Amino acid sequence: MIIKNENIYKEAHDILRKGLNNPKANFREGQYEAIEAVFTNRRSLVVQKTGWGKSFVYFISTKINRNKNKGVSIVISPLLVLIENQIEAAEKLELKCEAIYHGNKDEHADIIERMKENEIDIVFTTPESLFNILRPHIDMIQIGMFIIDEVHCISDWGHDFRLDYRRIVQVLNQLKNSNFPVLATTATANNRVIEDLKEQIGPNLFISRGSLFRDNLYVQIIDLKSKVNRYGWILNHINDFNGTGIIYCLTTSDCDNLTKFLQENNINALSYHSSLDSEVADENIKLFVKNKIKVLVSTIKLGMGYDKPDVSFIIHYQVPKNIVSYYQQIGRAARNIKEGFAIMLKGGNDFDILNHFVDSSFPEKKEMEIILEQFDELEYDFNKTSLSSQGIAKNVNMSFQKINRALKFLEFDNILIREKQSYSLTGNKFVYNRAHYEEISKIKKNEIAELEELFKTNTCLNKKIINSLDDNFDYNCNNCSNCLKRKLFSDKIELKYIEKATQYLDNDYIVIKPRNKYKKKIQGTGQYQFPHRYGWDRGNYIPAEYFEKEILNGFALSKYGDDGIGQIIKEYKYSNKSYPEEVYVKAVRIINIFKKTHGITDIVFVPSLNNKLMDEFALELSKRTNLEFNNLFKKLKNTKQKDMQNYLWQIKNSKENYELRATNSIKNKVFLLIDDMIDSGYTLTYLGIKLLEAGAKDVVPMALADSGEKVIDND
Amino acid sequence: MTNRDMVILLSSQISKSNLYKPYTNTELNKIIHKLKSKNIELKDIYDYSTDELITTFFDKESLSEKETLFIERLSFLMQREGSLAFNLMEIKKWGINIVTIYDENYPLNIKKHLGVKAPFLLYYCGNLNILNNNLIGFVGSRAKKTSEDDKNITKAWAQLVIDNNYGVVSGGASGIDTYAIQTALENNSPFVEFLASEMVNRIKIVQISKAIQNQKALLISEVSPFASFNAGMAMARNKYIYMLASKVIVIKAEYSIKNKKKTGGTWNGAIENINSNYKNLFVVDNKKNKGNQELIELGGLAINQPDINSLFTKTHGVLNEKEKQIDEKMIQILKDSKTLNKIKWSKREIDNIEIIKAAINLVSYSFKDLNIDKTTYEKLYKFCYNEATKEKITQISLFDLNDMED
Repeated sequence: MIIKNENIYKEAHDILRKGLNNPKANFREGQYEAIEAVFTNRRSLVVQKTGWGKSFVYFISTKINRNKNKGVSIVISPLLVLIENQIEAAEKLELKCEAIYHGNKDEHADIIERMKENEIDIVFTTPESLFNILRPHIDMIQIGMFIIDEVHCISDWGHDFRLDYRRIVQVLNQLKNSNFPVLATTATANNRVIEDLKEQIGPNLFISRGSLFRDNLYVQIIDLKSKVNRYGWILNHINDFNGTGIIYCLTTSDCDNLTKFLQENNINALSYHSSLDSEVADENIKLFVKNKIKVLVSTIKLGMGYDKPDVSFIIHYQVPKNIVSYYQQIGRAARNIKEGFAIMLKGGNDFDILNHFVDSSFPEKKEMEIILEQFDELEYDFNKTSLSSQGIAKNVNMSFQKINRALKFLEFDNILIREKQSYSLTGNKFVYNRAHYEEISKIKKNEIAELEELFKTNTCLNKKIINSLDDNFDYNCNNCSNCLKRKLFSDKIELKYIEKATQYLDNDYIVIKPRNKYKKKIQGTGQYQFPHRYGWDRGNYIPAEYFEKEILNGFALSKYGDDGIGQIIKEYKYSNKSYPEEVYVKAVRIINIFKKTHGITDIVFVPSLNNKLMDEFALELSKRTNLEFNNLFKKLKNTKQKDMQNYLWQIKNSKENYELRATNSIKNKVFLLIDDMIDSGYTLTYLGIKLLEAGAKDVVPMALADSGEKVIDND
Repeated sequence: MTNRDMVILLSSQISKSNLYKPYTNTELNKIIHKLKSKNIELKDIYDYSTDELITTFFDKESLSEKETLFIERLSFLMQREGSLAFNLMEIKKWGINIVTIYDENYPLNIKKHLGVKAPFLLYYCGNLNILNNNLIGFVGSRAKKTSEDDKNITKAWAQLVIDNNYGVVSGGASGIDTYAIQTALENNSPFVEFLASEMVNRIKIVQISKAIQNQKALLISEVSPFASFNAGMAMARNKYIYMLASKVIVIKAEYSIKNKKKTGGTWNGAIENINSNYKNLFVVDNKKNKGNQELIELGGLAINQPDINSLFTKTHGVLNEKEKQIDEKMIQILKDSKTLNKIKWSKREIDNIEIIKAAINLVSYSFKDLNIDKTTYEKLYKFCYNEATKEKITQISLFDLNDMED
């Protein structure tokens, strides 16, 4: 231990021993130096693996700072799950500790009041809560120290771009030349990230860096190409693991599907991802923490900073986003138990998705310019100074995803400023940071490539992983399947589990929900109106009875391009050949389920000008399912819905493209409305509404494949 | 920690705390002089404990209620660094920066005219270098009180000024101010707005933000960029237009009578200028407007049809060129003197009021700016103070000599 300042050492050491109630307690390697640097260098960065004892550094630094009459320490951490444990630990050091996050809304007012009275020593919060809940009160709070947990998130090289983290960087930038204490911690910062942090936090940064090697992680990689096999393997082997664990997926829908499969086969599983209501997500996590369930099926949302001590296994249903995420995710295992297993099920075309994800993470220069050009129309108006994303989408045929991505980056770089839901120009000039984006893309792709290499290597897996994070660890772990030269768990799947997986996936469908942005309720009249400012049915008031009900939830047989039907649809789409038997079999099976539950009487289809495939398909289905066949819609022109990039354009296009031929045979029927592909869903919604308007009792939409983009959960 | 950072910490008004107010210029001046008397710089007290602050400011341990309050306020302001960073980040988002009296790019004209009363910090967005251009000021009524004629006259004069390569400076209000700026915008010509409120709302205007981005505009203000309109601040802003401009054109001045005194935004600004002799004041000879006519009677230079020459043939007060000569002569006197004692600061050598004014003018620069040593500077300072008191020159502010010698 290197002691530069005896007074700080004495104080820190006393606090440690008193807090642990152990007169012989000593600091772990690097802990004291990190504390001292908070006061001598004023900037301290701790790069240490989980379980090293970062909280002690927070708490003791805070204690020393409070003894100097300084304000509250604010700890910013992306995930606050086991906050009670932190509060308990802080209390041992006689620190008043609280948390402000979405999980304790009732307490916010009281905690903030006490912060203003300077009665609290240390407060944990998330970036979101910091800017949304604490921010309005922050002028009345004396802050003594910033502690940034998972600090790699503030680096463009360490994390995906997120506005709240960018704001944290910008706050820290204001303190760059000051003596205000800042303590930053992370387990995963490679050299590039550390270099960037020096730039962001200040040049006088003290770095405490330790080995990232965890000697109780047992890693194995199993090659399972098909979805059925991976489902089968998990069901077959999940009970081979003692205790509880986490299965990681990339997308929220994969989480939900796998969870449902496991539940149907009596495995106590719940999911956790960013599409869940926060109450449900919180409840699921609580049950997991209490060991009330066997496994939590989660996306990356459960990652950094999640400190359940007794997770005994981690299974990757899909590859993680990159090698860094992989280290973070397997690091959730065996925090405080003897051993943990990390099993990776590799297979499928996941790397394509990952690379595509990197490619699409930055807006094009042209997209940003188009957004900025929209402000020109305001140029000679000194009174109107802002635009909403809706206002932009109305004029620009660009998807909301792209519009919002461009807006996000313009807001990042302070080219635009957002107030409520509207954007205005600032005094900052737009520059497209091409070189910066390209460099980041290169590094991110390299992190994916390292994951691919990991799958091929014969050498120690643990070593390979932590070497990728710039830790020069040079030993073999003797824990992984490569070191042990044997499988930790069998890669065989018994037939009955394959059958169960096949059966489940055959009956699996994607729920289609009706879109609801096509109408606007006129206050006080009970009537609805199409949003006329977008050029659709201007002034055409529609009696409420047609709109009080929506079309019903329907189904898509597959995800476009996925294993099975999804792959078939992709092959046949532009071939002009009739669909093969498998498609009919699955369609009939699922139609029969809906027929029973929804009382479907008739089939109607969405016609194409190119060919009669859908006509034939619908006719054949009507025979096989005993539903009456209808040919009700006329296609007027051929502007492709998929060329319409946002719903304002899609609604308009649906209306211009189709017309109802006849209205006499519609009353009181329940229609199955079939299209080949669903993307935005506005065609099905619009045509469904037309049927309801003509007197149909109900409409159930159906598609052969959902061609919407796969969304990787990115929380 | 620099003196600059301390000024921002102690006196910027961008935080919304209602606990303790940031220091005003006068208050901060007092603190700095108190510290100076102990050879302490502002930045030095950053790390002081409460006890150290008490002994520094009061030389004793038991404090009166007022003194305790002083220490509490100072400590609070020094402790607001963390929360202030959020507000500094907030103004950066708009492209707004702060320039302090300790910065090299602080507007020289303001320092020169206001001396120690110059604001410690100014908020600005855009290109500070525009202040180095020769600027012509435009002042006049708000939109409600202007006619189409007033608008046309403003635009014609502004166009003329721009065509002759001058920049435009105005106050950012509706009406005359805005017409002048719009003309600059239409010509893609540089302009300055010294604002009394709501800088962020001004930035949002698409044409203005684009001009800022293209280095063609400067918005500058002594109040928080988020401050809402306040009549007092609007009045206080007027003098800056006169300081930043080499000449000011009054398009339309109106007044009303309150407590037997004539008052009005443009009117008061012009009167203040006449009394302080900041700049040549030109008044559009609008026969229908009583305010304009009275300003002309008080010494404002009447101008008629837009003609650039009329801004140069008519002058009043001291010629700029002559002012410059006197400045140079003063510096020469200072530089030539081998010892301080050789300079006889008497009415005999410096025998008219203009020279005294020039001397006072000089001391509103720092001794570094003038390239003379500190002791000479102090000597000059003392002389100016005494002379200014004798001649009852009050409009040019000076340190309280007692403060300085504390």
